[in-house]
Amino acid sequence: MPIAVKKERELHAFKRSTSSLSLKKIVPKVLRSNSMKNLFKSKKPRTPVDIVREARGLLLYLNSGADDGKSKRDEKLQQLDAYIQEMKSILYGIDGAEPIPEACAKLTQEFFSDDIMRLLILCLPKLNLETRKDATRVVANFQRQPVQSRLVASQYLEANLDLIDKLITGYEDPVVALHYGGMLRECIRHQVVARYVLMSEHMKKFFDYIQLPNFDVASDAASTFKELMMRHKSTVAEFLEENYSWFFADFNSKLLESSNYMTRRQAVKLLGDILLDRSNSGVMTRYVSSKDNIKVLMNLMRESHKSIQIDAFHVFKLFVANQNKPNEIINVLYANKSKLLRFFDGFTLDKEDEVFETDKAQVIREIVEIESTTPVSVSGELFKPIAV
Amino acid sequence: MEHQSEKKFPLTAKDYKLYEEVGEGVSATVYRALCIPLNEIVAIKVLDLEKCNNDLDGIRREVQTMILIDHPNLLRAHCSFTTGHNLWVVMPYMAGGSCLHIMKSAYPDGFEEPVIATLLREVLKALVYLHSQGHIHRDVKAGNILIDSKGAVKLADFGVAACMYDTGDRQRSRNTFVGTPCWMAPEVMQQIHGYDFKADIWSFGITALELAHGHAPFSKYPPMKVLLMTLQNAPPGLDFERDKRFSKSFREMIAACLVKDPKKRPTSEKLLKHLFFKHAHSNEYLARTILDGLAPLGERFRLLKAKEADMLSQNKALYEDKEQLSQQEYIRGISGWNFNLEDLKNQAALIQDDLVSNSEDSSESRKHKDGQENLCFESASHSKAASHLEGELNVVHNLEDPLAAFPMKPLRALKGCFDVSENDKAADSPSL
Repeated sequence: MPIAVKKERELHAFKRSTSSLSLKKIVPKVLRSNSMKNLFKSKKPRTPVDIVREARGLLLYLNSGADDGKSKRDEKLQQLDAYIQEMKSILYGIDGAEPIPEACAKLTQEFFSDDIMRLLILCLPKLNLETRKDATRVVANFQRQPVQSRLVASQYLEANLDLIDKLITGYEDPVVALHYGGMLRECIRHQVVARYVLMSEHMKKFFDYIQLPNFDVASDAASTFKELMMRHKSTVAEFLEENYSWFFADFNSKLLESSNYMTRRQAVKLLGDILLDRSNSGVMTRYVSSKDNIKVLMNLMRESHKSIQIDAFHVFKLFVANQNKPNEIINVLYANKSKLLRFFDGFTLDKEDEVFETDKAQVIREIVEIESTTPVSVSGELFKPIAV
Repeated sequence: MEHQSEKKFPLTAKDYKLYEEVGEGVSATVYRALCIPLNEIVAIKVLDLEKCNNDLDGIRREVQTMILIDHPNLLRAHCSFTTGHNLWVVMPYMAGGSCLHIMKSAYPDGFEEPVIATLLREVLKALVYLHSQGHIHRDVKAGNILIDSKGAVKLADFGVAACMYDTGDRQRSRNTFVGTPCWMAPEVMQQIHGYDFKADIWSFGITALELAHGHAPFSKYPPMKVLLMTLQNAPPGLDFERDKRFSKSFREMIAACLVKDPKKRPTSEKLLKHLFFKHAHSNEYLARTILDGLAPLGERFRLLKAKEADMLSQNKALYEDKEQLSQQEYIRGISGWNFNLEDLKNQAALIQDDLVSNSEDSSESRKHKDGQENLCFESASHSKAASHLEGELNVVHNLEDPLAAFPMKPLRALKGCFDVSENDKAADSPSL
C-alpha cells in the first residue's frame, strides 16, 4: 500500500474518531448535570439515539395499557421522566450553557423518525404533571429544530395531520388542554399545519372552546385562534375569502354577541386586527358593506365596558371611512345621525390618545355630512337611544 | 399527581360565598370565601379585567402558571373563571397572610433569626423548583410570602413571572423591566445585558434583610433614589453594630446573594445547601412562634388598611417630604412602578440636587454625585421603547404632588408595552 494512501486512511479514521469523540463528550456532560434527577444509575453515556430508543420503549409500554401493577408503572413513569428531561437538557442547554446544534439535530431526527411525537401525545394523559410540562416544552422546541436546514417537524406533521386533530380536541379535556394547547400553538407555526386547521371543520369548534367555563383553557384556545387568524397572512386571506359567509355569521352571533364579557372583548379586538391587516383588505371591504355587521358593532359601542367600546370604535370607523358606502350603511348612519353625534360627543378616553382623537374627529366629520339616499324608505330608528 | 385532586372546584360564582377582604392589589382584591359544594374555605382573587388594558395575554400566562404548578411551597390556583368583567382565581386560603402583613401587625422590627431561616428555606425550595422549570419569579419579597394556619409557607404572585422556555424557544435572558425597586437586582434595573434566574437570588437577599429589619433597605427613599442607590452604592447587608443579634452564617448568606455581578451569586440549588438553613425549623414552629396570638387575617387587614389611610392623610399634610413617598408605596404594599428611562435620567439629575441640599449625610451624597457620571442608562432601543410609553408614566411630571406621583398600576399591566427584549421579538417573528 502506498504510504500516501495509508496516511489518508489514517487521517480519515482519525477524523471519524474525533467526531464521535465530540458526541461522546457532549452526552456525558448532559448526564452529569442531570445526575440528581437521574434515578437509575447507568454507567454508559447515552447518545440521542439511545435516549429516543429508550423513551420509545417506555412510551410503547404505557400506550399498550398493560397493567403490571402500580409500582411497575410508576417506575416506568419515572424512567420516562428522566429521558424527557435529558431531551430537554439537550434542546435547551444546561445551566446556562448553549445547546449543541449537532446533538439537537440528531435528537430531532430520531424523535421524528421514530414517531415519538405521536406516542408522547397519545400517552400524555398518563404522565405525571411535571413530565407533561416537560414533554410539552420538548415537543414545542422540536417544532423549531432544523436538521440540515430543513424543518423536519413540518414534514412530519404534514404526513401526520391526525395528530393535529388530537391536539385540537384536547381543549375538551381539562387534564391535557393546556399541554396540547401549548403544543398546538407551536405546530401551527408551520404553514401547512395552519392551512390544514383553517380549512378543517375544527375551525367551528374554536367558537365553543373560546367560551369554555375554565378561564385558563378558554383563554388558551382564544390565543391559539388568534394565532391561526394572524400568522400566515396569505393562507388566512384565502380562508376568509372562501369561508366568508359562515365564518363572519358565526363570528358575529357566537362571539361578538356572546353573553360572555371576555369573549366579546377578545373577539372585537381580533376582528379589528383581522380587518385592518392589509392582506385582508378584500374581506374588510365586504365586511364593512353589510348592515348586519354595522348593527353588531354599534351595539358593542353602546356597552358599558370601555375597553370593548374602544375596540368596537376602531372597527366602526371602517364602516364610516369607507368611501364607497353602500346605501344600507348610509341609511343606518343617517337614521342614527344625531344619536351617533351625541354619543361621540361624550365618548372620551381616560388618557390622551392622539390617534383616537384624530379618528374620532374624522368619523364625526363623515357622519355630519351623511345625507339620506332614499328619504322615503328610511324605516325610522334602528336602535334605541344611545345612553351616554 | 396529587394536584389532580378528586376535588373539582366549581366554575361559577354562585357556588362561592365571598366573605371579608384579606388582600388588595391594584386591579385585584383577595377575599376569604366558602366553596359551597365542597364546604371548603378558599381565597379568591377577583381581578377587574376592565382595569387590565392590554395585557390579557399576561394574565392568561399568570393563571396558567398557577394552575400548572405543583409544589408545596408555591401558591397554586384551584381553578379560574370569569364572571362579568371580573376574573376569579380560586386558591387555597392562607390564614396567616403575608410575612409583610405579619411584620406590620406584630413584628415591626423584623423576626428572630430561627424564624427567618425557616421562612427563607421554604421560599428557597420554591425558587429551586421554579428555576428548574425555567421560571423567574421576579417579585420575591415578604409581601409575597404567605403562611397558612399550620405554618406552611408558600410563595405567591406570579403576576410578573417570566418563563425562559416561553414559546418553545430558549430564551437566553430576559430584558423586561419588572419587579419592585427595593427588591430589584441591579442588572434588572440596567436593562442592558438582560438577566436570568440570578435576579431572584438578589431579591431573595433583599427579602432576607426585610425579614430581619421589618423593612427592605432603601425602603424609605423614593423609587428613583432606590434605583440610584442600588446601582451606585455597595450592596446592602447586615450591619456589624446594629445587627449584632444575627449570626455570622446569616450575614454570609445575605452577602452571597447581594453581589452585584449576577454570575457571582449562587444558584438557588446551591444556596439551599448554605449553613444558614441548617438553623431552619418546622412549619409547626412557625405556627407556634409567629402565628400564635395574631388576630384573624381579615381583622388585621382591616386595621392595617385603616392605619394606612391614616398615614396617607397625615402625609398629605407633610407632603413636602418626598422621602415619604416610597414609604407610602411600601405601606400600601403596591408591587411595582413603571419607569420611563428618559424620565429616570431626568429624575436622577433632580435627586442630585436634593441630596446636596437636604441629605442627612453629606459625604454619602457626594459619593452619589461622583458616581453620577458612570450611570449607564443609555441604550438606543430602550429609550425608543420608553418614549412610546410617555403619558403612561408621570413620575417626573407630578413630583410636586406626591400623592399622585406614582402610577398606581402594577408593572404587569403595562408589561406588553415595556417588553423591549430582543428575544421576545425574535420569538414572535417566524423563524421557520
